Order: sequence, then C-alpha cells, then structure tokens
Amino acid sequence: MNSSVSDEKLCAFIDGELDSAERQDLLHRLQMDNDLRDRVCAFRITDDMIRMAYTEVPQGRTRSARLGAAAKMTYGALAAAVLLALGLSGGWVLRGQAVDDAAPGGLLGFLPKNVQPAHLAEHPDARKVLLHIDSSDPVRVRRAFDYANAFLKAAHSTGVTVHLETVANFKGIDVLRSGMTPYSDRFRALARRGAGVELVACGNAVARLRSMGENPDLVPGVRVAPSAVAEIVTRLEDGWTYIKV
Amino acid sequence: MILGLCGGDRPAFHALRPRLHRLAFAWCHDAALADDLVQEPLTKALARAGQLKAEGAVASWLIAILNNCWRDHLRRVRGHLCLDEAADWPDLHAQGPEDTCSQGQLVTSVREAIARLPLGQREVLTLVDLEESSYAEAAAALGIPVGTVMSRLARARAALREQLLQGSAERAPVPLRRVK
Repeated sequence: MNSSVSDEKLCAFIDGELDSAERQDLLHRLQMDNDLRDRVCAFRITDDMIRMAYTEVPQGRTRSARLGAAAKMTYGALAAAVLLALGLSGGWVLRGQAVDDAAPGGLLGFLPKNVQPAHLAEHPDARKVLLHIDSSDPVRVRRAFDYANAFLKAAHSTGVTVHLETVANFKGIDVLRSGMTPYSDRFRALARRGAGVELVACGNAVARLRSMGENPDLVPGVRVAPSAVAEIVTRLEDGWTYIKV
Repeated sequence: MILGLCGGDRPAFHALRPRLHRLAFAWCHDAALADDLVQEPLTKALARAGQLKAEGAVASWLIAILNNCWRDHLRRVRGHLCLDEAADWPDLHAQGPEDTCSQGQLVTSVREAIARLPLGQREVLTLVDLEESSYAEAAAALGIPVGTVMSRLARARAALREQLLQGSAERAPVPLRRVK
C-alpha cells in the first residue's frame, strides 16, 4: 500500500476533480507504482459495481420476478470473477471441475494448455464462450481474434450451435473501434457471419473515451453494455465459459 | 452533470423521474418509499420548468428537495434524532435490498454494502457515482462543504472496497485458491 497518496486524492483523480498539475503528478507516479495502480483500479471496480447495482431498480409497487436459474453462486465466487475479469495483480482464479468439453466435440481444443477457461456455474457450457480483452497489446489482440476464429471453426466443423461474445474494456476497446487495430474489421466480419456472435463494448470505457474528447467510433453492430464487469458477471451466472486473452 | 432540465422541456422532465427514483432508491432501498420521495421534487420541477434554465442550479435544488423529503421521512420514523447526527449514523432503518430474489447476487451484495454505509456517505457516493455529480454540485445539493464531500466519498469507497473486494479474500468459500 502506498500511504503517501490519500484515498481522498485518489478519489478526486478518478472523478476528474484534480487540477492539471496534480493530475500530471499522479499519472507520473501511477506509471511507476503498481500498488498505487491497484488502489485506483480497486476504486474503479467498486464504482463499476455500484453503477451496475442500480442499472435497474425496482419500480414502486410493481415487482419483477426474474430469477436466473444459475443465480445460486456464492458471493465470494462472484467477487473472484470480478477480480479475475479485471486482472488485478495477485488475483484469484476459479477452480472447480473442468469445463465439460467432451460432449460437443472438443470445442475448446484450440486453447493452449496453459490457458484455463473459467466458469462459475455448476454445469458450465463450452458452447457459450465469452472472450475478454482489456488490452490493446498487438499480441493479445491477435490472440483474441485467433481464439474467436478457432472456436467458430470448431463449432462449424462439428455442427454445434455456439454463442461467442467478445467483451472489450479499458484499452481493449480499441479492438472494437474502426481502424484502431488490424483486427477491428476482422472482428466485425466475424460478427456478421452468424447470429451467435456478438461484440460488446464496456460502457465505462466508451464514456472515458468521450470524456477525453475522443470519438469511440465503434464498428457497426457493437453493443454497449453498462460495464464490462456487469456483462461478465451476468454471463458467468448464466453458465458461460470465460476466457481472458 | 446532474439532472439536466431545460426550460419547458417536456422530454427532459420525463427523463427526471427515473433518475430521481434511482437516486432515492439507492438511499432508502425501498421502491415504494422511493416512489413517494420523488413526488415532491417532480411536482416542483414541473411547476418551475418554465422559469429555470441553468441546468446545474435545477439539478442541485431538485436533489436538495429530494434530500429534504428523505430527511423528513427519517425524522418521522426516528423521532428524536437530530438531522446533523443522522448524517453520520448508520441508517438503522435500512431494510436491505428490496425483493432480493429478483436480483443477481452481486447486485444484492453491492446494495447491501451501500445500505450499511452511514447516510451522509451513502448520499455523497450515490450522487457522484450514479448521477456523476461534480464535488461542487454534490456539495450544493446536500448543503455541505466540498471538503466534507471529499472525505465522505473516500471513506465510503474505502468501506465498499473492503467489503466487496478485499473482504472476499477472508470470506472466500471453497471454490477459490490464491495463485502467484
């Protein structure tokens, strides 16, 4: 923990309330200080969770009754999923039985041995895959496309109907912005191929771009979710298999 | 920017209700009560929609009215508590999230954590995170100094971080393990 920067100052940084000199100074320190970065990241995650918790609120005397069948997860597992999704250092991984990949004909056979898909549901479904990218690193961007492509190919060759969702947040959002990466157009082409393929941008990442005066210019067909955290947690609750690239 | 309302702008007025309702719900976690609380600010907004055009000012006074209605309610149910105390006391009447069965578990956990915050922290946090108020706007709406906004916000976020993130490390159930 870096005790020389107060929580108040970090909050003011996140909320855009620092003057430009203070902001520059803190940005500089963030580049060198992993602990400080983790603290900022943790605050951002809690903010994302708060926004997610009130995206839909019950209205007056009319109550909705939508209870997901797979909503029986422990809270700790959910928090772990969120941490995992956001890649905090020294993070958690999900254990449990391997995704049952045998039945649909080895859909995930393309994954290298050191990549462990994660899931939370009791009966994870290898036919529903969520790819998560949070970086614009060319190696990872390419990997994301390769995984997506390989998964759809495996599905095609085995005749299995699949769902593939690519969720992008932080810098990873570049994958879904026109012309920002060599793979942006190729992702778009993948999404146009079938009904089961979806591209999802994190609403917070989009808002951050706009607040910096940038035009997100997302490729056509991208859905903007309230936040990547919300999207990932919802999918995991529904039994999806999660792969971080 | 908080609740925008241009003069005589009906669509803007209609957009106010869900936002005020969400804010009220995040304060009291009771959908029916939130419905009641937003009536007065909405009525006043409608009455004055033609006169006031400065968006920031409208936003702040609407939230100030909502806050007054909320405080009035708390005074009724708590009787003896003076309001200055109430701001720093945990909300003993928080009933927890409404209708927990209809929500995902994370949503429920987050709402519970927010309901456990002292009232003053809860108000500042929800204004800044849900309404994207600036510190100055939040201070004006709640009638407190900007410095108080900052300290309450930092304490609220630190408490949530402990409960929602770090807390899970100690409370981690079986399906977790730590990796290096």
